[in-house]
Amino acid sequence: MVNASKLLVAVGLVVLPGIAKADSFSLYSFGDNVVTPSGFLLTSNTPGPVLWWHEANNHQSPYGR
Amino acid sequence: MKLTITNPLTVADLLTLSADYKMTTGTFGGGSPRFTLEDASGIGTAYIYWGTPTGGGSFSDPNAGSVGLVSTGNLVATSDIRVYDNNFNGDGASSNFGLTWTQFVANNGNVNLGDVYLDLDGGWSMEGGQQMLVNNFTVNNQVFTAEVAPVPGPIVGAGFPGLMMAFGGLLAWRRRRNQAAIT
Repeated sequence: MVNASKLLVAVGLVVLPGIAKADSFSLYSFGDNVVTPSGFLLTSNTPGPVLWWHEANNHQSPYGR
Repeated sequence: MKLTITNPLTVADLLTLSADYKMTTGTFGGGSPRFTLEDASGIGTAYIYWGTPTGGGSFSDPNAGSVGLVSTGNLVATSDIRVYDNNFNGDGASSNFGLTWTQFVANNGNVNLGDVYLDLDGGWSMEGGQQMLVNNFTVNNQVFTAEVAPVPGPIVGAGFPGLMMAFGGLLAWRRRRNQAAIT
């Protein structure tokens, strides 16, 4: 069961290995994302509040939506 | 992991925001899919919802049932009310009230962006949840795509054929060695 899936573009940040990158932006993928030949497969199938990881601030936050 | 922003991008600098997608399970709802802008100070966010506004802050998938991937279109170039300010830059705004992108830029154009998220988290709102394929994620002139880790290919000489070649070579060497011993 998966709460949420997110893709994140952080402006001018350090890139993580194995993730697409560009000069001014970095792309992060978190949540239960699956990388397929056709792209990112994002899933959200769990009721209730979302718990997400915020890379930039280095903290995890309960975030009900 | 502590990261440092080195290239500020203001709200007004954001000229293109789009993705190519296909809903594979469920549809739009529960506040997603959407883009989320977070200000550089991490105080607040603004949501940019995908789809066709249907009133009351709800949106529908204009490409429901599509076989292939489709584009959201540039969501910061529409005149629809689809931006919901959630205390962005600490302005105290409530996400209950929608804005057009032009209105949001008028209020926050000089604010630096920290992150831009592509969110799918509305699965709670529908039976079976949501699943979506995202082929690419575009921010201004940067197009991000998933990178599939390469599958290691066969190494020449490895595996069963390589073993047979090695065995054959050993037999040939022993035969030559035996013949040399006889002569």
